[in-house]
Amino acid sequence: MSAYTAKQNILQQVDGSATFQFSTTKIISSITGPIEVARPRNEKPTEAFLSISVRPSTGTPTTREAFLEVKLKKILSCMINMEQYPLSEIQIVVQILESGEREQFTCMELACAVNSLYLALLNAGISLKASFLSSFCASKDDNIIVRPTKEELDTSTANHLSVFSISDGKADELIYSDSIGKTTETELFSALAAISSDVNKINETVREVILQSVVDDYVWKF
Amino acid sequence: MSQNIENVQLKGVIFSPSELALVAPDITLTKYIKAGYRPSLRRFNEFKPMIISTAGISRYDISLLNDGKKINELTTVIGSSSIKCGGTSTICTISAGLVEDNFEAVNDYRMRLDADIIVNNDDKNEENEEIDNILGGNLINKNGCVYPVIEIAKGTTGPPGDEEIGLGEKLYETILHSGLINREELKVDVGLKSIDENGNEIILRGDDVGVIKKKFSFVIYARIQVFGKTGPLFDQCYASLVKALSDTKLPEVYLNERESNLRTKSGKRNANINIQSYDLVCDSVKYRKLKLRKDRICWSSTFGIVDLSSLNKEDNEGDIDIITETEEDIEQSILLTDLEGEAENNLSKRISVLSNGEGFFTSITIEKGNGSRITTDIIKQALELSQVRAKDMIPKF
Amino acid sequence: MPHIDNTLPIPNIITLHSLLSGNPPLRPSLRQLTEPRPLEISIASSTEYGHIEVKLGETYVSCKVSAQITSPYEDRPFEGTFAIGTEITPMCSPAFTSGVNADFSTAAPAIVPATAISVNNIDSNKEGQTSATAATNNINNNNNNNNNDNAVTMGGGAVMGLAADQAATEILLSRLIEKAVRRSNALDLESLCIIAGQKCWAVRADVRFLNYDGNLVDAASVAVITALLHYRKPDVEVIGSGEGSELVMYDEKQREMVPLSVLHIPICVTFQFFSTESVERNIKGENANSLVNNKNYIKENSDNDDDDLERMDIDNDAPRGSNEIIIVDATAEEELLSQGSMTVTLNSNKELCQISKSGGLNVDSVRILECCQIASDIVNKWTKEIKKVLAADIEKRRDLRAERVLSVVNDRSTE
Repeated sequence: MSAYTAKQNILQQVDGSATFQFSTTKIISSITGPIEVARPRNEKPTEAFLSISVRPSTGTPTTREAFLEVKLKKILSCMINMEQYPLSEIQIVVQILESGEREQFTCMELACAVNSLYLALLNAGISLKASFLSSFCASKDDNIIVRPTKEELDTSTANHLSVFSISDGKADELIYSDSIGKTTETELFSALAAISSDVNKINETVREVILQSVVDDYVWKF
Repeated sequence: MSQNIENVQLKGVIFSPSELALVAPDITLTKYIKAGYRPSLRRFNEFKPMIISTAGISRYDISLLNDGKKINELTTVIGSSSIKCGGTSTICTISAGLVEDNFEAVNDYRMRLDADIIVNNDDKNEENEEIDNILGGNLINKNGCVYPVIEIAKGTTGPPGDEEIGLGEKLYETILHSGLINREELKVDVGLKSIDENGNEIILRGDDVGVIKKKFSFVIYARIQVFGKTGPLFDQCYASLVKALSDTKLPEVYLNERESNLRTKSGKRNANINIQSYDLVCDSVKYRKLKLRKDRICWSSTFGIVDLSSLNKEDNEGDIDIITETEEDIEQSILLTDLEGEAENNLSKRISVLSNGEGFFTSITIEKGNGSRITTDIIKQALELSQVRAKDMIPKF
Repeated sequence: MPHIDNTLPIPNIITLHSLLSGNPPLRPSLRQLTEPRPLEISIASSTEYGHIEVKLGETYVSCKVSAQITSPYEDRPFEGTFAIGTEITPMCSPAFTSGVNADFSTAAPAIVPATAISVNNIDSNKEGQTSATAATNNINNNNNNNNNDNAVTMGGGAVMGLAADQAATEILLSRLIEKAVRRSNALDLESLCIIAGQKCWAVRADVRFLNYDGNLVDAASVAVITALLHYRKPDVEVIGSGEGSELVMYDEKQREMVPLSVLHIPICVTFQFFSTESVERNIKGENANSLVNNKNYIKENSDNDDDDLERMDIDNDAPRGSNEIIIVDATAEEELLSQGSMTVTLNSNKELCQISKSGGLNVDSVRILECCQIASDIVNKWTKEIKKVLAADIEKRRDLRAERVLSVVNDRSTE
């Protein structure tokens, strides 16, 4: 299992920012908003418009990054209180600093991006329906490896990524799940169980990170 | 007070069903489901019939018509399929390119195209094992892939939208990770075309072709065109891609002998370098079928989920008798198959399953969207239903 | 922090301007005019090579170098390729929206009143009043010649600093980095050739701008060159010759990785120019042609004013030269206010690799030489810093390697 670190409030110019790192995968995200919609045709009368851009660690964005954007949009639009920001835009940038996985996989980067975005959204003060965190696992010969390394991922038969909402410090609802590769029903459910217990673990650290940044940001000291 | 109420006249706004579906998809759907129907008048778990056929437009298809002799010289399409499902038609054409299996892409994990066609399982010397490691163990080395491009006919031209990119990328990911295509299948056994003593054309293969150290592989491209979109397209795109792939025939490839030793001198001063140039020729008639791994052929089913809890709030108004079967369980959700029309497309709570009908799945995507909690039951129900559907449909490929 | 406005409030601009045009000129941070902010270089990854993060004050830039094998350009069979990717995302500042028609237009109007303040006015209202009232006074008092100044100065700051529209900024920035690092032959392209005409290395440096607080160019140039110096590519070997030749690539465990051949260390230093006079007077001093141009701007004014101005300009012609204030390593605030900029690229041998001053405030040519002298000192300082960081990192990594070798030796001896 790979280690993870997180940090909030790194950048000054944007409303919220955070990094999240799963061993070799490192991502920095920034949130600006709610702001005026940059292009009038994107303006939605009843809810916020999410402009998400994912930037790869090397080279220019490809369809792979566009697909990540599509997935992130699905996850975020049901976690943000979109109705609260009608006619405005929430600008989201996800910069992959270290990819940490082969280009044929996306689960490490997606999980990392979801977690860093959660922290960045909190930092930006965007209204959320619930806390949420994500983790991933790989399965090989009926074994579930939670947060596998690059090499373990390469030799796995399937990989699973899930996002859970958090309530009372525990993984609660399944928000999003993506399994690719040859898998079975029992494997899916054991993977979901493994990921939800891993999310509980990540949550402990993440809470500390949030607490720390709240303490740091508290400027009205006497 | 009562007088006042009588004086107020509220004019009812009347929408036609199609308008209401556009304006308030959720209300439309609620109304239908409460009546026990879907907007398409199908039952909740009734699939749409799907007609799967080869499109008959690929290079080798004419042979069926013309005594198995003639081929369609005009096209480079090597596999095709056509699928009709309700009002939606999908046409998939497969084409291929040749790429040199080379070292150059080894650490180039940015360039999917090249990284994907490196095959080095032949020689079991140390360096090649090292390459295997660099390339990434089993999966990437064993599984071939397809690069699909989706075009949804909308009446306008322009760069592919989010949906098209998403579909294409998801198809790529699923085919690659499911292992539908064995990468060995894509390798090219390059022959050397020559003329023997008797003046007959012969094609040398294997050890006879000493000079060529380089190896080649096919890269498969798919172009999927969708007409008349009514709902989520992944199921149909996947079906058409698999059908087209099972129809795909790869041409025989050989080197033209005369040009195999061709050396070109670069035009620069002092640039006395020899650039090897091969003239690869695809045989215009001979071909082999692209074999797919039978057990990995799946059927994709996308389900939308309607939550009854949200419907029950409005139960007071009446119509309770119609949904009696669901009354006792407030949290129960209804699985809708083959979403169609504005009202159903609005459902963001979805499960998409690729099942092979024999207990295996190659892709499961669960999205909660704006719906209520996703239960284990509903996932199980979806998996089961997709199995039934897969058993039913896979033989039709 | 939530809801920081990327435009400067007008009082801030006025304060800044009054500070800069004081005697002696001061910067808001009390930094010396020719003193850059502290440069902080860090190696982002302890395992991988070529990933560098650079912080220049609050400006935060990271650069990642990668390499792959491709075939060379046909007309350059003996050279590898080198590309620099500089894409600005809204991450570094919301002012850079990811769209075509994104611009700093929200920021530009804020500049207008500020640059119109002349030194005389600030001096006359010295300490007694706040700068805000000073500004209003100044505008009221000097209506006759300040009105027309406004029209001219609007373009000055917005176009020449980085505060232009994003597309232009991005192009300008990537050209500068390209000229500074690539065209100055910092990376020896011939050493990237593997088999002439067939195989070569394609090196790519991706610069990510994470936080914007002015002076992206200098930070990016330091990041790129440091990343290039730090990067190691895997060792390759050509086995055999002619048609049967094969390329073998060795990974880190088999053979030590090879550094890129970097010939010299070019570093950009950007100067921002401010005029204590109005921009218009600066321009008008040059020749009669500019007078004609300027008439367009002051058309609406009475003839009286017009004459007044022209006369004044001619009068001011001779002593004008020393009116510009030149600062290095401007912050975002200072860049917004700047009326012109110049980027010089030097290496530690005091060789000038590139110089770029695209319009903006006219500056006395003699002062450019002074700038180069200042830049040279900064370059020396930064080069030392780069070398120090790299040396420390090599030391760190060598320890690991040495330990590994030693442990292998130990294993053998105990057997």
